[in-house]
Amino acid sequence: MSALRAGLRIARRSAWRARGRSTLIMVMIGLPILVLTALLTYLATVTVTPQEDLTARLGAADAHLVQIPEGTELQQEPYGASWHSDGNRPRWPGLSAAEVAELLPPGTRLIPYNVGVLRLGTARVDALETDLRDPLTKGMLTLSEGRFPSAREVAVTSAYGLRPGDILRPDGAAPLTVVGVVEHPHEPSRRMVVGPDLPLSVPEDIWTPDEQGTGWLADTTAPVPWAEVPALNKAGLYVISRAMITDPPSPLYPTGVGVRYTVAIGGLVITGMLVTVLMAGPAFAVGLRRRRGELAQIAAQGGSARHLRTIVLADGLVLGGAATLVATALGIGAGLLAAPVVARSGGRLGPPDVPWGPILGVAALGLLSGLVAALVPAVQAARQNTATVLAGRASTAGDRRGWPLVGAALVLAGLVATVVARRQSDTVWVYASAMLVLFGLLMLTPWLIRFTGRPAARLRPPLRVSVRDAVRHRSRTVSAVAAVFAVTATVVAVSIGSYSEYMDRRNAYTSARPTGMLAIWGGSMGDAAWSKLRGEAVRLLPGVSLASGYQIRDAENRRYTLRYIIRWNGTRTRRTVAVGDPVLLKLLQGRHDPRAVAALESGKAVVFDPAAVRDGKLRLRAGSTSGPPRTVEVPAVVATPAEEHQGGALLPRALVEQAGFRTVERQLYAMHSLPGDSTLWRDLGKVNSRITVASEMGYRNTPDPGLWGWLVGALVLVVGGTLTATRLAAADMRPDRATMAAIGAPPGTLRLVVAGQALYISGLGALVGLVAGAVTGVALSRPMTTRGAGDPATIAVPWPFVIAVVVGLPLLATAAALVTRTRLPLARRHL
Amino acid sequence: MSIRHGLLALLSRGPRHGYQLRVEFEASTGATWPLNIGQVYTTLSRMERDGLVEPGESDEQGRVVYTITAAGRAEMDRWFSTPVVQSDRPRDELVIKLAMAVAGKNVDVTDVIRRQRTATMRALQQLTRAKRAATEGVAQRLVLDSMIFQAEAEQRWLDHCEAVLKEER
Amino acid sequence: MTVVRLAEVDRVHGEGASAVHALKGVSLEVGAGELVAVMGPSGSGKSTLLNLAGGLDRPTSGAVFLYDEDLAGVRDLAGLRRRQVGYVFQDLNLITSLTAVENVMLPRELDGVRFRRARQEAMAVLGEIGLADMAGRFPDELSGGQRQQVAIARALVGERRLLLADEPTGALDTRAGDEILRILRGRCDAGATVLLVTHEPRYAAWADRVVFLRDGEIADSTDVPLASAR
Repeated sequence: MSALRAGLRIARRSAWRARGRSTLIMVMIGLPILVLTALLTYLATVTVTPQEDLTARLGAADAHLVQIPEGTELQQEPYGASWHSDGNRPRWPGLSAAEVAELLPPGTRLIPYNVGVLRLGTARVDALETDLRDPLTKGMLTLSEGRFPSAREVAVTSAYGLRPGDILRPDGAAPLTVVGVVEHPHEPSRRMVVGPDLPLSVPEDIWTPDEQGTGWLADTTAPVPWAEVPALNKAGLYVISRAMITDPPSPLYPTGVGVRYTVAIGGLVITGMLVTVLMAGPAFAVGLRRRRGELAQIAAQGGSARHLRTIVLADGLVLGGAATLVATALGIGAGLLAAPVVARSGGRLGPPDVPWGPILGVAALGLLSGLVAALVPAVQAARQNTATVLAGRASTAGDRRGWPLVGAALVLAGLVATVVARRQSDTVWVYASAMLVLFGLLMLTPWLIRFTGRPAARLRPPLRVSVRDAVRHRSRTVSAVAAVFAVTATVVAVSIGSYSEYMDRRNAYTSARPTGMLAIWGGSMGDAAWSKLRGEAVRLLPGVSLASGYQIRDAENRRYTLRYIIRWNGTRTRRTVAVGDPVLLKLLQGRHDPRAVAALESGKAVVFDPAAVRDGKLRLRAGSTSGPPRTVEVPAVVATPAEEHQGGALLPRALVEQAGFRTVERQLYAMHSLPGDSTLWRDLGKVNSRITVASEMGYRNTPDPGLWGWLVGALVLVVGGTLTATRLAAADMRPDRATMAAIGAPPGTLRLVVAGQALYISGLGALVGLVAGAVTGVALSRPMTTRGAGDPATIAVPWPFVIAVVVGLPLLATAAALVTRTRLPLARRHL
Repeated sequence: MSIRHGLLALLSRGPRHGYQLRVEFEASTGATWPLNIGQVYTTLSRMERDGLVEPGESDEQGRVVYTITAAGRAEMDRWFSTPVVQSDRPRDELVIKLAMAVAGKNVDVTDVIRRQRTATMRALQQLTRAKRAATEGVAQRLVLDSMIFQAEAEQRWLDHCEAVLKEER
Repeated sequence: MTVVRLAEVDRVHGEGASAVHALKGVSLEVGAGELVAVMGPSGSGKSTLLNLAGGLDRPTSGAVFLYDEDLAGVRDLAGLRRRQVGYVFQDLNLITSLTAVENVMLPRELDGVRFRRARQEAMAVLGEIGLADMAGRFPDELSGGQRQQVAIARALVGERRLLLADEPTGALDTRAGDEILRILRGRCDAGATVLLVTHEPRYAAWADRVVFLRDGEIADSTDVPLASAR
């Protein structure tokens, strides 16, 4: 016990004496803890649990009821709601407050609570129609300026940017005066208008149970439990009640922990610890080398191997403990501070939340990492030969050769496992196999470093010195290189996987029109109505050249569509052919293609889906809502469309007419982007309501994967880890550099010696990491991009990102090492 | 200590006549201790008297070859196994000179030391030059080294005197 | 021809009350082919003198001339050390991660000489001092004396004819020390110039001239004429 106390005292003292090195170790151990803790705290804070959300949703009320449109049936379940509609436009039943009150316990008080949008010219804003002065709404929105609105008045959220005294002019209604500014408790960036009487419009297209529409807040005499929900659903009401959330029939979230979950968490923990240990380990090892004499003195005074081990382990305990403490505190602070900042640009924000359980787990891991990182040096310390050290002959032995054979076997096993895991639908097994590869490579690293050190003799002197030095101090270099390749491999794998998924989704998107094309489709209408509409369109789109498209009618003037089905990136996709002339073809192709034009003019279909054309023929199904279907086969030529996501086919009028149909112009196309607040649809709709205006926007559903966030993480770890190792190397090489200076090496050369270490460590690490990461990434992309049989895997490499990681980061680390000041005494001795 | 012990050591390698002994003696001591042949023969005849060596046959040139006796060997072993005692050495004039200079008060001791040191260094340089030129084997070199070390010791002692006197002042 | 000339050189370390006068008005000339030893107790300014002579340090006042060029006017002192002056220190002379021959090549390579030629030159110098067999060894595979010999080879590789040695025998036993001096002496006789700092008379005695330094001043010297020194 007292040995441990003495050990802790020595550790504390030497940590203080070597402040620079101690700081580096603490940063290495602390960084992952800080990042994880901050992330956990941030997530807990921005996640608004149903309980936390109660006040924002219900204020002081007991329940919020929303009308379900007619034709929609809804069943609320504790895990979510299921509903289906008849597909018509939502029609709103006129349930009155009195009718609703009857469904609830007697003595219930209701106030209106309608959610929709307010149209202000071309703009729209979310709007809530309720009386904020009513005590039932207490807490839903907090007043930050002015007062709550009464009739013909509104309050706005601060994000909307209006001030009391401003006037809102909704379409077709009297103006509204802003009298107050309010805050949403969880969504600081939400733009919303609130007032007791608003000319609301409810979205017309599709209804989902997200509280939009006509509704009420209810102050009931008894709680509204889950038991009463089915009855209310049946009566056409969607319910959120206090009792439903505070007293759920079963846990709101499934909490099953499966094997894959365990594997995933385990993998994450192992990788995190591995990186930490690999980065902090060499720092401990160098510290040990410095203290070798001190330890030998202790041994000479009768310290046993165990005592020495205790002393070095105490280092890990002291530094790991301090780093954990500081990093946890900083992480919690950063998480709590980041949440409101991020929420300002969108997203939700709950009350400050510190998830102590997981955070303590992370902290324990950090402490453990410190101990493990100190373990190897501790064992070395216990093993050192006291007499040798005291005689000043520091043994360079002890650098392990590594276990190249075991490593190679592990890598091989990992690769086999990866190939097998690739066939599984779950990515977890690929990660698990990647761990095998990673550990195998870790064991191979000493061999790899020896191998790469061989050609060093051919390098320029400064680089030769740094590579040789790196190779000779293998235990220091191995862990730094391993840390870099672990990070690089992870980042490269994730980037290839997620970019493949992104590309797969993007490739799955297809359209018959190029991005930026404006289409105006008329419905069933006569020639006169169309020409009026056409004239208006030409007037509203001055200077825009319009191409014509044609509707297909049969002899009885019934509307037909010609369709075919293809597989687009594994998904069955139905295409409707367009009918038009070379002007339209040129728009679709984005260029003049004489071959396609010739084909079209000679009465052949021009098809952009190569797979749809067999033996020069395109088989089409002519369908109609009113007429009998039939099949048509037309001669076809394959052509290249303007954009990759494009498919479809264009038929000349003559060909359609040959098949026994009539063609009438009912469509207009143009390459023209409408401004965001365009009123074209509404203006044309005034002429004739049977009109559809569509702008092709291209793929924009899934946001670009957040790869650059990973880059920042990798940057911190790779550059940080490399610089740590480089600084340690610089300290080790001080005598060498002093000698070089005495020989007459210019300062730049001396810097190069240090920077060369950084380049070697990060470069080798990045290369190995690239290989390992690419294998895993390619393996990941299969389960991530395959949906069902027959859907080929998409493998896409985000080259700029990968190059930034594999080339950019090492160069950055080298540049950083180049400019970092490393003190060097020029004159070696004074006097 | 004497020439006799040196000659005994040479004879212990095998019988030799007087001239041979003189050449080998000078070679071993690096010519730092010249002997004349008369000294050799006087010493040999005394040793013969004491029963340490015995003369053998004359060779064709009439030189008598001497052989070491058992008693001679015993005497030689005794000599090698007995350390040289400090007081056996002669009094050192320099030590006495410096002591007198310090006691004398009106002598510039530092100047005495400086002169002596430069002189000793010159001697040391000459010894070193002799050593560089020496080619006669290890024994010669060691004898020169001995003198170098002695001169060096004198140098160090002079430095020490200077430092001590500087402190005293 | 004078290789190094110190003219009334002063060197003060630090300022004000804590100032240490390392050298006071020292004048010294070392001619080509001469081996001059500087002796003195520790703190007498020996190393400062050597650092000034090779441009590792600059005098507070006075001037240092190398081949009649005032060092105060030389901007690229590192280049000067690569091309004209070789240093040998007591320890930590060699770069541990380079082999003996690579260590010797280093100044030449730093000076832009091609690998092959630098290697040839280095092997030539190593051969001259009888270390050709050790060329491929790393410093920690050499004995202390061999390490110093490699350092001497490095100090003399290429065109350099001036060697500044600061206690090169410090960590060695007398035999290895003698060997070092024998090599230095041999280099001098072959035309090189050596300025040797030592506190051991037995090594100083190898010099043509011994200069005694006391408290930053030259106290005395054995001004033996060059001719008789040989």
